[in-house]
Amino acid sequence: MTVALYALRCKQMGLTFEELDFLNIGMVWGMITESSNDDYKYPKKATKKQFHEFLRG
Amino acid sequence: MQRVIEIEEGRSFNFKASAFTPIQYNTLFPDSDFWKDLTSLQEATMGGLESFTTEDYTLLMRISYTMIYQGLAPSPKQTEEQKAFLEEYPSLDYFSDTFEMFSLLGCLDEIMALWGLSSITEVDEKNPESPPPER
Repeated sequence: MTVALYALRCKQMGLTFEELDFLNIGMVWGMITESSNDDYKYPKKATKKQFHEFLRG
Repeated sequence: MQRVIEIEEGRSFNFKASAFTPIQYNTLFPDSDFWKDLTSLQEATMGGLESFTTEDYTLLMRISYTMIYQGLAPSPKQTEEQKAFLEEYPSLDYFSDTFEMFSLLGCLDEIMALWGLSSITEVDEKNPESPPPER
């Protein structure tokens, strides 16, 4: 990772330099990771029923 | 994330570590790369202070200078306090000369801990693809 690539990823996520100053670097790493997770093909997906069971505890 | 760190007796500065720090660093030191320098400093830290070189100390000084500069402002827009800081310490050498020799080394753990706290993330990467090769 270089600063140029880091700045590019931040800009691609729509973050301004001002917003970056209010975020921890850990949050931005998390956002970059979640952004790359968006197109992850999950091998198994929960059904609506399972999701509701999960929410009910 | 901010923390007041006393470098020498009676000389405390507000250090700020944020997601803007890497970009701020490169603004203040245009010929450097924050991630490269931080990795070098982290590797040097693992080797213990006995093997710390003057080059390592310069990296620590640069990162401290950046975090102190950031700690003077609520946003990346330059404030009067930051302008005054740059007037008082126009260069890293000048800043460095105002301290006792290597006194910043005593704050190394605190500064690295501040950055470490700022870097915590709980997100796991799901795509096993490796990043593109660096040019």
